[in-house]
Amino acid sequence: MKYIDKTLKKQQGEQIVTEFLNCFHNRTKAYPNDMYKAFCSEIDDAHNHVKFRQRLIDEVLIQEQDGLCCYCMRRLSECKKMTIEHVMPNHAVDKTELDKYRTRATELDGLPHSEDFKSLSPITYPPHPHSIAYQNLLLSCDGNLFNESPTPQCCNLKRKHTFLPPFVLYSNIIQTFIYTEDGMAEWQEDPEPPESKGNAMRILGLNKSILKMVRRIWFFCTDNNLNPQKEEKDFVINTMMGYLNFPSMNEEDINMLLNFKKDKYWKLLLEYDAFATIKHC
Amino acid sequence: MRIDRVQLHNYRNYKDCTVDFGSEVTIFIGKNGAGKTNLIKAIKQLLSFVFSRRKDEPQFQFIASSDRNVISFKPLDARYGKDEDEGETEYNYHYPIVNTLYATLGNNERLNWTFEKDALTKGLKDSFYKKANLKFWKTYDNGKSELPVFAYFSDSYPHVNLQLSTTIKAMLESGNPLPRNAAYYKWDDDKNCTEIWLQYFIMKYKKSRLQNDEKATRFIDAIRTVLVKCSKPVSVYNPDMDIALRDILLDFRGKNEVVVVEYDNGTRIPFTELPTGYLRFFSIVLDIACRGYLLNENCNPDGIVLIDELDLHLHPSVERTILKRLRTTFTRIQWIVSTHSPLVLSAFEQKDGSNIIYKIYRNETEVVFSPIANMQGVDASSGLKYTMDTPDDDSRLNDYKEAYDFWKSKGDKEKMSNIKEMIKNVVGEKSLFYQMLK
Repeated sequence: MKYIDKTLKKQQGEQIVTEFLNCFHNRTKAYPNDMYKAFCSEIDDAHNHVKFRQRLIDEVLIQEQDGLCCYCMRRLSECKKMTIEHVMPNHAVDKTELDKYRTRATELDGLPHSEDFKSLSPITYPPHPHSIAYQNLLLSCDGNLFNESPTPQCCNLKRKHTFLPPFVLYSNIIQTFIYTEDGMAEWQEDPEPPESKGNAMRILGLNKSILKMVRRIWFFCTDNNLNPQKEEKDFVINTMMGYLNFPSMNEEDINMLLNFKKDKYWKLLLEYDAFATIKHC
Repeated sequence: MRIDRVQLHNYRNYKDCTVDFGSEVTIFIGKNGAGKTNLIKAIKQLLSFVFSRRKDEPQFQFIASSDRNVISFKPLDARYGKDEDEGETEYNYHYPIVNTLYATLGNNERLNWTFEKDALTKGLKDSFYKKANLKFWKTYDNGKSELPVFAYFSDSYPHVNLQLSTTIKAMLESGNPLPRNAAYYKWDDDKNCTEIWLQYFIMKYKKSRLQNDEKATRFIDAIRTVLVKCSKPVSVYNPDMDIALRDILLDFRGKNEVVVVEYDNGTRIPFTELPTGYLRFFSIVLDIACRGYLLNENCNPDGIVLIDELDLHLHPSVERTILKRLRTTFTRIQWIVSTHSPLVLSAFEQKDGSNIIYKIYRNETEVVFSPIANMQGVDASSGLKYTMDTPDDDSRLNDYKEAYDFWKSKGDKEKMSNIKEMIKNVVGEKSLFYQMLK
């Protein structure tokens, strides 16, 4: 997990959202009922008919996240489609629901609920309504690991609108989010224990056995000076087999490891190359 | 008539699924429990929309004397499970069940209809299929023009014989032709109707021989031609004569007449005593032929045939050819079949739009239908590996062995013994595979 600092590109991010609201208002003399929907479809004339949503992604979000999914760290260019994650759900009913996300200081503070925004008089911005506020938007993968199954396995689409603490915006996330040697992900400040349904890793599906194995292989390679991008997959897997601590690793895990001899699994592994630079604990 | 697409919602193991069918053949291959049988059951039930029995409907006269009716959902048809994603912690039956079938009729007219049930105690909403029903019967002239055959062969077919009802018994004993609507008699039953068709064949055979009844002779000849035709070798490259028949005739055993088949080499055997695999195959052919003849007086009917486990009990050489045999015998049927056998696939030629093979499997949350590439000519072992992700066991062992050999080539005894332990854990100490590791 990487900390996403929403102050660095704040000016550019806010600028695009402001332009969108101005543009919509100039055209219709009103503000949209469904903010996010309008944001996704409104076209920006000044930028040669690019949609505002796309501009925000291209000019701000993708750079801010180094091209990686905000949760699982998959390389976004490799998934079928990238999705916009609302840290505070677009569908949040009212301000009190948003407040649950603001128990710790982050850039989310001060963003009005989209409904409240419309009743401001006069309407001024920024701060922007939560549905389209740059500070509330992240890029996530589509959770479709092999680009073939329609049911998302992880991240934004797996989470849906479930409550999830905005931990990627916490500046101490580097210290409090750990990976174990066998690939398990854990946010140590999670108030919900691992077995609870509200546990962040469960909501996001980050400890699915396939994702755990992806990380485990990367960690093994880093520890043993192997580079999966250069080595043959059979060589890496065969080497790793010799080092496995059997029987602490069960047959199911071994089978999962051996799956990576298949091309489609190996391709997935390479899409998680961000783990090459991450240390396990 | 052919079906183009089915959509299932909350039906048995399906939460949401859409499947498109090939206009000629659709094959489903998958492990036990993947949902092949449920899919076929859903189609079968949806086809019962034809048999609505309301008195004010034009086809009532045709349907009234049959045993057919629209079939509602059963309590266990609702999907059972807990959707953790949606915050459910308990196992529940999920409603509404909503299944929709899209079809094309003989005159290329398209229609679709839905069977929906909102709660356990509710019935089907008939307004959702009534329009399609009217269209169907209008197209087929209220049953006066040529009608499509429906046939279904379950994975227990033909082991369990249907108990003949007194009505049908009386019909067979009367010596009169069966009514036209008998072509749909118990077509969707798990049990088989072979007994009826054999009895009918006997009755017609006697009429033909003893009374020179022309109509009966035509029937007998049509059935014999079909059975003989489907038994012949399918190509010069596969001159399999084991199954080839010369004729179907009547023989007397004690008091009873028995239908007997004569193999090409002259040996004779009662139809019901055929080896299991052949019995199933010939029973399927007999069933389609009889239903087709009853409906339209010919044995090459238009229609839809569902077969659960096409390859059941068959010798590999026949497994390879069964689909081809069926298709060349009945050229106008749309086939929807499930199988476990890569042999069925390896001899099967795919064509865009008309033939499709789906691999069905379950991932962590749902059933996935994934179309697979042309398998024609692929050897059985690779076919099995590709389609079933199986002999995972064998290929898995090879993976272990490769890792073992890898460390052996480096001369690292410690790593070798580590992997050897893993192999022991999988295959056991006594297995030859383990003992051969040196």
